[in-house]
Amino acid sequence: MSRNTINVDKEPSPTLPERRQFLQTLSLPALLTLLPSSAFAANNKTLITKPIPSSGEQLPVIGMGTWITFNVGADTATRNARTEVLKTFFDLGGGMVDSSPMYGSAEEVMGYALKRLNQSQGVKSQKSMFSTTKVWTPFDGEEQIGDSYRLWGLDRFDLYQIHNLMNWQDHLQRLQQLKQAGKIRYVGITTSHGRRHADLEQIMKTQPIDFIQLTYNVRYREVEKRLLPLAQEKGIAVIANRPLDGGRLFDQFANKPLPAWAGEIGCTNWSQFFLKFVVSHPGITCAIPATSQVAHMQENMGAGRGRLPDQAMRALMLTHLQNV
Amino acid sequence: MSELLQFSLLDMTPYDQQSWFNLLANYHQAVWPVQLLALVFTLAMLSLIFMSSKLPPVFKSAETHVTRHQSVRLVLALLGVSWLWCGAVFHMQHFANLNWAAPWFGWVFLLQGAALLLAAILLKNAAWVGLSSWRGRLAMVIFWMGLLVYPFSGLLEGRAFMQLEWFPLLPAPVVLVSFALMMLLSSRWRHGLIIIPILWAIVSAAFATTLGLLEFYFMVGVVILWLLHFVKL
Repeated sequence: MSRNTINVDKEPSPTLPERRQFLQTLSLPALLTLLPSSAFAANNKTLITKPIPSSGEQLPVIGMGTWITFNVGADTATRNARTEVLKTFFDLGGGMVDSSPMYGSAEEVMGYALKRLNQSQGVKSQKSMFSTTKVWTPFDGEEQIGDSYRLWGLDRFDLYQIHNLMNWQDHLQRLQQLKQAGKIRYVGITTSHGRRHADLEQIMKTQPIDFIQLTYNVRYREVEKRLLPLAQEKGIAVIANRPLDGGRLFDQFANKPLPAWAGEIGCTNWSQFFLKFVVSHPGITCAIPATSQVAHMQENMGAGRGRLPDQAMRALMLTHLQNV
Repeated sequence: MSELLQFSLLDMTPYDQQSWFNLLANYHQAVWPVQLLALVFTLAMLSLIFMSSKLPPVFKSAETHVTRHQSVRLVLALLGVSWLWCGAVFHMQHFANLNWAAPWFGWVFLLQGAALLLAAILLKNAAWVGLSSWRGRLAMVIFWMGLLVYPFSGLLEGRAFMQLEWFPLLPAPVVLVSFALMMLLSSRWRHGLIIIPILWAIVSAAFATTLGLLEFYFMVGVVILWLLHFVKL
């Protein structure tokens, strides 16, 4: 009989309240860290989350953008079709939903879809939502911010960002005030298409922000050099926009077969291949692909489950794409 | 403003082809029965153009007090109203739902509409060039392109009838008709009055490229025809 066994046997059994307390301390995330790596094999469908550095709150790595896809104006049939896309996103465990006043009617359509889901399913449909919008005006942002709350039908946003650094000094001050007042949980700043990276870097170094949003995908990786390492150093969460390069990646690769080894990281289609590459970078917290199709949403959300490629696999993925 | 200038064409096209088509259908539904008025408006313009070409420069009779000059000025005024409608109603009230830049476009259209109305008031000796001349024939080609060919070309893109773009209710046909009328106009004012249509044709062609629309070919084509009409045959 081993020593350990003897020790265990000699320990008194915990009383019922103590046992409950012990079990409560073993939260699910804590238990998951105890599992062997094989538990995250390709056929494992566990939702992948990453922590927001400023709070530790876990966020599903695949979010949802609304650029173009939710800007459908007043057309009821199309609005209802987008509501189905949003429902699919929530059903599959989606978290971050991102929009902006710059996206035409997207915020209004989002409000419509949320209201419709609430009417049909109750508040449960929104339970996992991590609502994200932006302020985008060269003028005072008060009116625009008020409009966004009204259009979404929300009292509080999880994340409010300054779109493309526009008038960021004034807006950042206002957003920080809203955060203190409890109307916003996190504050961020965005850029896209590689614009104004030097300015963004300076803001990251000097301002108390929780999130940044930038363009990152297999084709556009310039941010790996400075911005992503800086975000890790400063404890800033990073949202990757255009993770599928606005759909252009499919133009190039859609008719090519997936490599056989893609199954090792749980990829059954190119969308998952591209998205898993993006969210597996240690500096990226979440990616926000946009789609107008339920089937595409299902594909995208598949990238947020199973296991992520490690460094060696990421290198293999890039090499493969260069050789295709 | 410098921050606004950093935005690319892609930023100004936050919608796809289907949303554009749906917007057109909803717009037509919302403004009904203005289409009937638009038809009368178009027929009136056609009558004035063809009538004025047959009138002597100063034609007065007991039946009508319309002179050739007056009919040309009336056509310019009607064209001005078309631009004003597109600016105030289409861009500002409908297109603004899809495109944040639409109100700015609306102001440009209002400016062009005001300029045309001003021309209608001030051009005392307005006249068309002969419809049988090289310039006149070219203008007529563009004119029918704006009134019929462009609207019906939408069917090739898979649009429903309600999603077609008709003069004088939507920017593209209004711009095409404007090119035609400025080509017909014999006054030097036409060189000033064509500036905004040329700019819009370029912007519109760029939008059409991002959305994959045939409009691109019409806009590029009309600018080429405009340059071509300076060639003396």
